[in-house]
Amino acid sequence: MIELQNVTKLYGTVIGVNDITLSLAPGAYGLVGPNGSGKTTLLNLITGQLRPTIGRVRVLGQSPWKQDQLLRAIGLCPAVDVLYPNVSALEWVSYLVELHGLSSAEARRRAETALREVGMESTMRRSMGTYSLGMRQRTKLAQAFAHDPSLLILDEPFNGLDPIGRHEMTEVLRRWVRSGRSLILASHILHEVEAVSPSFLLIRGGRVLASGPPDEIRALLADVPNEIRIRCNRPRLLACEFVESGLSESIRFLDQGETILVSTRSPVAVFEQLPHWLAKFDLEVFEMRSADDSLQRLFSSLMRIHRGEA
Amino acid sequence: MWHGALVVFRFELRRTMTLNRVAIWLLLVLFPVFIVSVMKYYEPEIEGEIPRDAFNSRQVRVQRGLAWGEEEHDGDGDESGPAPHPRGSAAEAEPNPMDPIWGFVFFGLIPEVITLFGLLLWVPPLVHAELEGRTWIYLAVRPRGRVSVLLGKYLTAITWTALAGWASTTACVLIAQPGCALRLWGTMVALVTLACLAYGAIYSLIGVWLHRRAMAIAVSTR
Repeated sequence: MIELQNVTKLYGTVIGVNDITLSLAPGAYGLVGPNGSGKTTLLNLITGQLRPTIGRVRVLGQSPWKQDQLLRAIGLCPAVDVLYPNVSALEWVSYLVELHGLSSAEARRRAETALREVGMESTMRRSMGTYSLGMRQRTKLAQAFAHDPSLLILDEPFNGLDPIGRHEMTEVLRRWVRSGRSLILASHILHEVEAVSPSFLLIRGGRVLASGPPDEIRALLADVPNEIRIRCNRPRLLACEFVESGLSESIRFLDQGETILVSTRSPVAVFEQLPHWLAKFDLEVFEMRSADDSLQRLFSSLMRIHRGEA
Repeated sequence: MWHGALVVFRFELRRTMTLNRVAIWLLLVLFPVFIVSVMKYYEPEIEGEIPRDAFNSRQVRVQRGLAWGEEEHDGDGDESGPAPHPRGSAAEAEPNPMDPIWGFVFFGLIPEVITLFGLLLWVPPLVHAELEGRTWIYLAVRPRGRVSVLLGKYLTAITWTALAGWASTTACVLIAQPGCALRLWGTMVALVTLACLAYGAIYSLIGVWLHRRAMAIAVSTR
């Protein structure tokens, strides 16, 4: 479905994406990366809004650059908010569908169906100036799939949605994936992507660091040391216990010796052992943090693998 | 491409039908009407200031159906020569010494001021408005979306401006009641149309190439 060969995009001297080579078969993919990682640049290359400085992009067998007919097969929901204050969602979505070459009546019918599907049935005739951020997000999603594309590309579609809205949006996207059509969902929140896409592309600094299903990514990270930050009343004693137990790879003292940063390959064993030490030495723990579940930590680990440090 | 342009034109025409836009449109229409009304009020004084031979110009001669260098026939002259105009035609009307003045005033106020000002307001920001409103990307991912938006918005801007020019011309001619009313009206309507098409195209070019400072550059090109 999508092929990128050594694709690099430069904005002057700034690198947008850096030497990306990948091949994606039809299906659903989550493009995960922190803000500024190159997700939007990659999506713009795929939709033909940008031309790669180096390399080659093929989407559905064609180069997307200046390939207008290809745009009929792609639905894009950009991250940027939209504001036509005195236009209703129905008018706006109909207008965008009509630009795909459909008749006015057919465009309106499809717009109504799409807006109904994203839960905008009762508000689609109200002007968009009165919409909440969540309603505008739903409208944006509706305009992306109203013309019935085979590939749907969403850039941060969950922004501004409340938990109910997120759940409903997830359900809409799951239905889309179940219908056998392709989806690329870009987000900086891992669990949102995991709920919809069976496969990840992890991107940072313009590079794809890892790709595959979540289990594969976790397996990749299994051998990477995890860091646990502990602030307690007797940090030196606790550090000695870590060293004696052999559970730690390394220990660093932070905050003038009040906090220790333990690097370990066996976080589960550490969490099992810690209560015993607390009871035995009458330790008081004021703060304990593990960044291991956060996206930042995931990417730090992947970057270390990428640099050959882990 | 034309389908897209017409879709954008319809959408933009509906979207821009706001109180602000209508108020500006009315202002454009009424500005020449006001000037012409004041001139009409003082017409006897202005006419009194005009020397008798001031308008022995080509414009007056053409209006009277005379070739350049041909002497003007008086009522008692040779009747066998060809009549300058068929009886009952608009150009047969008695020439008014104010007609050339109305011609200059109409031309200066309508195609030169109203058309330019209207287009300056609506054409140069045609790309920048979409970029600023962050709606450009939604249009750019439609087949021939960029060209459709450009053409559609160009058509919208010239429609608004041409309507203002035509309405203003009609009102001014009705108020001024020049001797060659129909002819002056027709000429001005044609000039407004041509001015809208040409200036609109120039400002569109500026708006596309230099969209960030399009308005300033468009003003400076005048």
